[in-house]
Amino acid sequence: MSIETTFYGGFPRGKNFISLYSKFLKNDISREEFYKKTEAIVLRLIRKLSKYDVKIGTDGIFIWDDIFAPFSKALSSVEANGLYRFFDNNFYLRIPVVKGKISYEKCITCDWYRRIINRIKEKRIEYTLRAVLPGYALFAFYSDDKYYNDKTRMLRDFHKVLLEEIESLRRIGIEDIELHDPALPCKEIPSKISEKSIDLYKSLDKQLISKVWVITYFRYSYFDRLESLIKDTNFIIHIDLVENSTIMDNLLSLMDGGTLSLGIVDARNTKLEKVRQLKTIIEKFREKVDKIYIAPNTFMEFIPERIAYRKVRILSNLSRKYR
Amino acid sequence: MFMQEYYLPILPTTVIGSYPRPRWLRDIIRRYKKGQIKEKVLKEAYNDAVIAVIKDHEIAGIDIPSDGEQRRDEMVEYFAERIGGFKFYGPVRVWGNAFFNKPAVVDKLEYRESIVVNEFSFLQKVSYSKIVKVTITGPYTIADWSFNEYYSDKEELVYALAEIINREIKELEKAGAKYVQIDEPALPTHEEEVEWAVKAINKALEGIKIKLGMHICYGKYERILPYVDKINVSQFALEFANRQFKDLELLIEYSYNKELGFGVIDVHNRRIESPLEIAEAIRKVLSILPPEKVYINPDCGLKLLPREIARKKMENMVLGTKLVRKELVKAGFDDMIVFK
Repeated sequence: MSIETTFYGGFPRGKNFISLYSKFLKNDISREEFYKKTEAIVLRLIRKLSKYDVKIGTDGIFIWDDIFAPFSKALSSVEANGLYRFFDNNFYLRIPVVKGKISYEKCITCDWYRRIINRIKEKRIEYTLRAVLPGYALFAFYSDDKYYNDKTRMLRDFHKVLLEEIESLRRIGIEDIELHDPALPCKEIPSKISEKSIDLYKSLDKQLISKVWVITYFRYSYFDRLESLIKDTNFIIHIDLVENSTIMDNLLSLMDGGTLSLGIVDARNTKLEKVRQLKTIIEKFREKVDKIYIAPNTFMEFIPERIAYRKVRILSNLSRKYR
Repeated sequence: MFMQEYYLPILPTTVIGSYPRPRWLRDIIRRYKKGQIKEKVLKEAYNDAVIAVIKDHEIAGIDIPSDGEQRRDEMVEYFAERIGGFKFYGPVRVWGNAFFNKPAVVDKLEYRESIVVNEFSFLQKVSYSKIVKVTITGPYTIADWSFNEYYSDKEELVYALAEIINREIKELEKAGAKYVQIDEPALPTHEEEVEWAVKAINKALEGIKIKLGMHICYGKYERILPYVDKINVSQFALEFANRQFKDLELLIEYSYNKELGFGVIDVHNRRIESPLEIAEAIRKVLSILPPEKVYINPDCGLKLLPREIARKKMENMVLGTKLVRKELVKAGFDDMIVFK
């Protein structure tokens, strides 16, 4: 069994970026200057994470306001509107309001990702960049559908634009895509939506060349919705074991080789985990999987930057025990 | 004991609490943090800012003003800085480019000294209105928006905070405050915790005789509305504009019968609502509740808006309210209500 450390979605933004973004929002600096300076900040993050043996992850999605924006700007007939709480966190997002048939306009993030990829290559950093996108159930959960009157129909069109976006990203050199879908196993999602989402994931699996990671987190009400994704797709599924420790036996029984991602440090609390405690979890998977990615249970924007680095270091210390 | 009665215009207008800081105050705070300005100068600037806010409220015609929470960077952080047992590791993002220093509970919590009594005393001194609103972040929200490294569970932490908040409200009562609003935006967050959270919040309100209100924004109101009669406050100030007033239906569904602070201004949108729009929204709520039970306020604190927009939104809120007041008086309602 091999182990690698990674992280998903947003990384906490440091004071430099906060002040830079504030200047950009006030039009005190141009978009070009904002991007250029953000590039340098992202590069610093990636370099620092490399020291902790993190060789794959995101760019911290600093230019994203939330899980939907700027991707939703790539879709026609979708606008960002009311501010809503992101699950049970003191963290908010603008919900997508669907006012017409969803279709793909252009890749909004490609320019940005291209810049980061080029910089990573230029600086010869060993780092695989993953792009971040919302998953099906998450999109259905938060979108305000004013057009379809049936979110399963809406998801069919969302599927098409997701395919186009992933293909656009592949063309610029991003082969790894993380689809965040904490809504999929949650109780607020009706079974009609979860079933449609699972079908579409399976269809995505058949249609894509890119490597897809489905990132789930927070408390699961229906772990069984994830079971078929683990069994029937080639995706790497990220499981939040911090908030769902009771599913451990069930998860173990599903595994017979393959790759799995485990969220084992709590990215919603500052309390630091002990490596030896985490090791007992990993030991259980030793004979069950070929490869494990160890990661924080969710994206790390819920904790301060310095705690995030400490948590990554804990994961890195754990993975070193398996070298 | 003789209790003095206070009168307010029917449909009293008020604010939720926060208001944009003047640009010069932000500059002074920045310079203070860099060590370029003495604390004395900063304190004077805070006082001057409160006077400026009060003037904005007065010009807009707000019946129950607040101090705009000018001294508070953030609603949880401010309390955590003044309660023993908290530690700060750095900012965390809330949305967009808005951050707050989310505190961590690392030791037994302890009431060190009064937290907002000085704020209240100054506000009352400079206010044009005898009734002012003092806002206090509730124990559940402080706990929910903090990291817990010390207490065995969240419930234990909330009860520890409830004791501290109770002591602070008693200090405010002693100092002459007439209206305290407990801010509990986190309350609808975790459905399974509401039952015990309500009991803990009531612990924080025990033995208080002055008017108590509660402000809750975001989240699903259907999780809270079954409990409103169990929470010992006379008024709930809720957001409606940000939800396009859809949640008015919930008031009917849950037979809501307490006083309502009716949110008519979307604080996350820079578009300024017109007085006619606001009047229209108020008419909607009056089809559900009697006018004596309705106060008019923005959805939430105005602090994230540019000051000019916040002021204009407040002015239009008052103008819209006045349109409906005229209609009520015409219909035979008294133009004043007793503040109770």
